[in-house]
Amino acid sequence: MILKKIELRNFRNYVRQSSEFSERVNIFSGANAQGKTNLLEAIYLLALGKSFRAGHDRELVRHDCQAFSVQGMLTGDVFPVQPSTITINSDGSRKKIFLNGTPLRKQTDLVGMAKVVLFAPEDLQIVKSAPSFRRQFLDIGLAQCSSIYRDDLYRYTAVLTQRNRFLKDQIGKRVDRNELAAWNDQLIKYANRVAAGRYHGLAILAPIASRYHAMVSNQREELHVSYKSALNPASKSSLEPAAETYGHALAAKLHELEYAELARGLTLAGPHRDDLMLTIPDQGELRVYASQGQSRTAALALKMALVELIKEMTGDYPLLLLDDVLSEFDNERKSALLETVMGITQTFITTTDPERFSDNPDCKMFRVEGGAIQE
Amino acid sequence: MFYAPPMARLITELSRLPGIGPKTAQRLAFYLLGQDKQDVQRLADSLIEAKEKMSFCPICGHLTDVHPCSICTDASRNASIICVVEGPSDVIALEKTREFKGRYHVLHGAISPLDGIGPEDLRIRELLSRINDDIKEIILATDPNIEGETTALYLTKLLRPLNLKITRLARGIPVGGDLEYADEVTLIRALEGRHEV
Ligand SMILES: Nc1ncnc2c1ncn2[C@@H]1O[C@H](COP(=O)(O)OP(=O)(O)OP(=O)(O)O)[C@@H](O)[C@H]1O
Ligand SMILES: [Mg+2]
Ligand SMILES: [Zn+2]
Repeated sequence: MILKKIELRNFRNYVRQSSEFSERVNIFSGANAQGKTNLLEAIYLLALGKSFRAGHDRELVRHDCQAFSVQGMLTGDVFPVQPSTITINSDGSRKKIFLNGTPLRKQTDLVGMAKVVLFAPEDLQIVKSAPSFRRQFLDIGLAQCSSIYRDDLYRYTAVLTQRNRFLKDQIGKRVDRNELAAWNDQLIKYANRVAAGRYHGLAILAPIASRYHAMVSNQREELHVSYKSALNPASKSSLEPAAETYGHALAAKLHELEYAELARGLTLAGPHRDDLMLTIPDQGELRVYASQGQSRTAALALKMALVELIKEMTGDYPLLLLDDVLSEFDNERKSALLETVMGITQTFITTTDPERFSDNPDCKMFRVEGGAIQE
Repeated sequence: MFYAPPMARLITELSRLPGIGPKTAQRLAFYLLGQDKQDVQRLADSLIEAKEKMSFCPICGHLTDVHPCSICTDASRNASIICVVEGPSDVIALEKTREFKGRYHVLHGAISPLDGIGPEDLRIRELLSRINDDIKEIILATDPNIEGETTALYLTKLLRPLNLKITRLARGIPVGGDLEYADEVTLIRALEGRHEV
């Protein structure tokens, strides 16, 4: 899938911008606060329907304007005609999404068309940060790979919210056993599906991540990625088990936790509490023990593996958005990253230091200045 | 305020209707005021008449102008099957298919803690009181969303000891939904869901 062209109107600091991209690598350089990240944000929006940094769509509307519009022209097997356009219009509170001029029946149908992997400086923390970041890393990847996973995750979250409210409302009351049992059944059903989707995705992702990690670390270290859940403490290194038994384990756990859940009004086990476990043999869990360099290397391997995972599961490479991360890596890792992505997937790189790309024929250079992009 | 009080009041009332925002309410108000008085009178009369004459059937909970409703008293219908739905509009949708020849039971909602709706807020006691030796099957036709599914599960747990056949509409295709418009996920789910519960 290729993003051929983008048009922005009153989006962030862009008034009116139209840019055509190279199918390979696009480099956006410019001083701070000129609109480089804003452009990547617009591309991300075309893929996922929401921003990776705005808390609210209102922030995306250019100051003193009524509404923004982002339109992308794309080609690829997922699209009904070549090229196709995806248009997102919003007045900051209501969003409208169109494919080739026709409104999408459900806005969530957008996800999975244009696919993206974003690598921003915050992502360098993925190894050390809270479990929710690692879950989100996997979920955003898988949601783009499978409409079934998207639906399961959405329903799991909906059940979780309802069940938490139910538990909260029961505090200090006589609990309705049948209703609790009904919510438990629902939670277990969708938990099982979400867990199965994650196990399946991780079984593909883990070996790829290990391979990249070995490459980037010059074979010095071996990265192990596995699914970490209170429901399968035994499966430290293996990815196979549990997908089917997850539901059974959760049922048992809910039984065990019933008193605590009813006291706290909160669901205490399930996929919303699981994690990715990253380990290096003989060194233990990276979250606890990783050095700065180790955690960066692992983050890089995971992101590169996600690109391959999406290709593996959908047949389509995602757009790769690298926001200011190159400066975070030493030359060795920088080269490993660039050599891997160049030539396989359309890439958008922002940098304050474009020199190293200027004589590379695969790169199309852009200058970003005060909300304007020039080739 | 841009509007004189009578106009403002009309717009306020219209915008209380579901799916009608302030802009649509305003458009409707202008439209109505452009109509002949007798046309507007007819609309107002029909609202009052419907409200006065329609109420819920004491047996099944469907909207009706006769009590009990014509479905509950129709002797040609199969009284041994009860189809449980969330709202009166589901009864209409199922009746339009002309496929179902049993009776209905309208719950008037679905379990949803976020909306403050628990089993005790639904017409479940009324359903239990309808069940006797003549009832052979209960079809659970609540919506295929989380709340509807949970309600169906709840009812299954409640009804299972009573030794009835309990079935669930194939999940995924909304009641009255059109297969043509069902998306990929919905269709996959519907295929998965074609079993007895
Ligand atoms: N809604 C908006 N309307 C107008 N300007 C905005 C809006 N949102 C953000 N901006 C401006 O956009 C600029 C930030 O752009 P962006 O984040 O793309 O910077 P950048 O080029 O990536 O810089 P850096 O190199 O520091 O990351 C800021 O000057 C900010 O004031
Ligand atoms: Mg930036
Ligand atoms: Zn009736």
